[in-house]
Amino acid sequence: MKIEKVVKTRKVRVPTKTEVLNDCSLLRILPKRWQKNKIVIAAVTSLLAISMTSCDSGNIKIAPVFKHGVGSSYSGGMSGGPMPINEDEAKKIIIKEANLLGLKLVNKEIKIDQVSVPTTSIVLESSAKLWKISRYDNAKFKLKKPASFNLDLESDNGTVGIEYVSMSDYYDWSVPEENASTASSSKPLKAAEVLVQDGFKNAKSDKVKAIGVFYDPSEEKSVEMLKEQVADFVKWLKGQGLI
Amino acid sequence: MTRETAFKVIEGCSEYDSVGIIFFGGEPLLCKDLIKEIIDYSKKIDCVFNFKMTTNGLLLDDETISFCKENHIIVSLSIDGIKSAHDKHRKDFDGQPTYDKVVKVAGKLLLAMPYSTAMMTVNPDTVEYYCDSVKYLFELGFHYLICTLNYQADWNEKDMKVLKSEYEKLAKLYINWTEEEEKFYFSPFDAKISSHIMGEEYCKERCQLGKKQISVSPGGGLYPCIQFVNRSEYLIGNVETGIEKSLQSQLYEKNSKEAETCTDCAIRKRCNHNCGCINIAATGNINKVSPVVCHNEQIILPIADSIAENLYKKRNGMFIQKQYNEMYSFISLIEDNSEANK
Repeated sequence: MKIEKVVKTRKVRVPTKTEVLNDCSLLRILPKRWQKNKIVIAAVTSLLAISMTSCDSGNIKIAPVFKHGVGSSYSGGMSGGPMPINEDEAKKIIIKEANLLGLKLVNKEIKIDQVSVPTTSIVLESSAKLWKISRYDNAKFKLKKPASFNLDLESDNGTVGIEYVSMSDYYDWSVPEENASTASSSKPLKAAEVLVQDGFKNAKSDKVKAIGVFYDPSEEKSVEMLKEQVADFVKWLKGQGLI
Repeated sequence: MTRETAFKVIEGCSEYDSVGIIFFGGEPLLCKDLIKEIIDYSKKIDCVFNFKMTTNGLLLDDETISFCKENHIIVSLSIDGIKSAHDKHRKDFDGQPTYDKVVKVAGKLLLAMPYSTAMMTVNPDTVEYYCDSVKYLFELGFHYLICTLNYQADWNEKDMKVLKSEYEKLAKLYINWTEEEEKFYFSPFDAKISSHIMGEEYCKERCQLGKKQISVSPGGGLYPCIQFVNRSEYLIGNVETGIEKSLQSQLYEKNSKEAETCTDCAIRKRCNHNCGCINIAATGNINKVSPVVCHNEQIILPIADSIAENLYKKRNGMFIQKQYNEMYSFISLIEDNSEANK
């Protein structure tokens, strides 16, 4: 046998520790055996106080954002990007896919309280100044005051709620940075992440036990990618013992 | 090792807040009384000691198990799995196979100390039993499994094919156990999964030749690792005069040098090619990488990555906590204690 160099490796689709510690939502997922043990739960809560509390949402479990698709787009000017999936279209896709996977969803909104919607930013620039958009990639969205919020879909028994962050949501929640322009950028993935990490932190509901947040993938294969988000969410629900 | 030499080592630890000491051999229990004296003496020294011992188990009687338990000595038992695998290479002084004796001891050990480790060595002529052996040891009660290939053995392409197929079976086992929320550590996969999850940190934590750990020979010579003991060219000091920092640094620098065979290799940051201890054992040169190491790494990495992707995609709680939560071991211990107190 001889030593043979490896020329190329494929990307491992698992986050690194640094990525997880920057987004603590994943650490909320506990083994079932821990969930059943009050002493362990107390230990987890106190030992991970900093990271856990920032993601805690009381009795509602918030699924992490399952990333399939870049979830950001640039439109207007000379650019022609992929067509967004609008709310109605997305709801149909989500319901159909979830039903196939064993999660019965109905096209009915469900209200939850104490939700802080992110104030998204639409960066309006002339198409000649596209570079400026990148300045906003790491900008932190501010949160609006907590208020009632209607999730887009609910499960047939009302215990699971779904929010789809569409381009129109993104625009509805936005405060334009500049006026007078022909081009804009939007980042529904980022808005979805802020919702999961902070927006639902104090969310309250008598009925809803789990929330999934999906986003417009904003890619050529957006429909497939949205289906993958649904599939991952259903797996997560099963892993949590919620369905 | 004389009592004086051993005590000198213990005294030398006083300049540190905490030190881990591993008794290894040969067979450390041939010096059972000395070990007891060392443990007693360590209680007089201002340093927190964590003791471990690697043993073949043949002299591990009830009294010694009780002593280890009372003194919190973590025991690693050399056991190669099922009878067909273990008895191929593990013989006693008279050349008799040791499986029956060791399995009996393992049962007693695990009853007294459930966190004991199984140290399993895989040889070309036992590789076909790899998966069965791991499964067997787990069912026996070992949940901490350190499994290594015997890099000094004569491996060939055919053996590596068998190894690959065993890793694939083990991958299914690993996923099943994790989904069943079993707590375990299986070193070949866990180390490789960690090599991705830890990123750059993993590179820093790899072979720290002579920096974090030293080995003391019976005569009191200090060596960078167990594999180097009694190779005079790697002597970096002795218990009388301590470590010679310049020799230690030289060796570390030499080991840090990327082997020419591996520059530009896409997996070099996740591979064990720069482990001087493995290299010296496999090729006799700390900078010369064995093709067995290379082939093993190329086989195991994609399998370990698939395991991680599978469990991450399912958002498996046990996988996530084990891999990402720095408090996992501690929380796990709290859980075990709470279960024991029920």
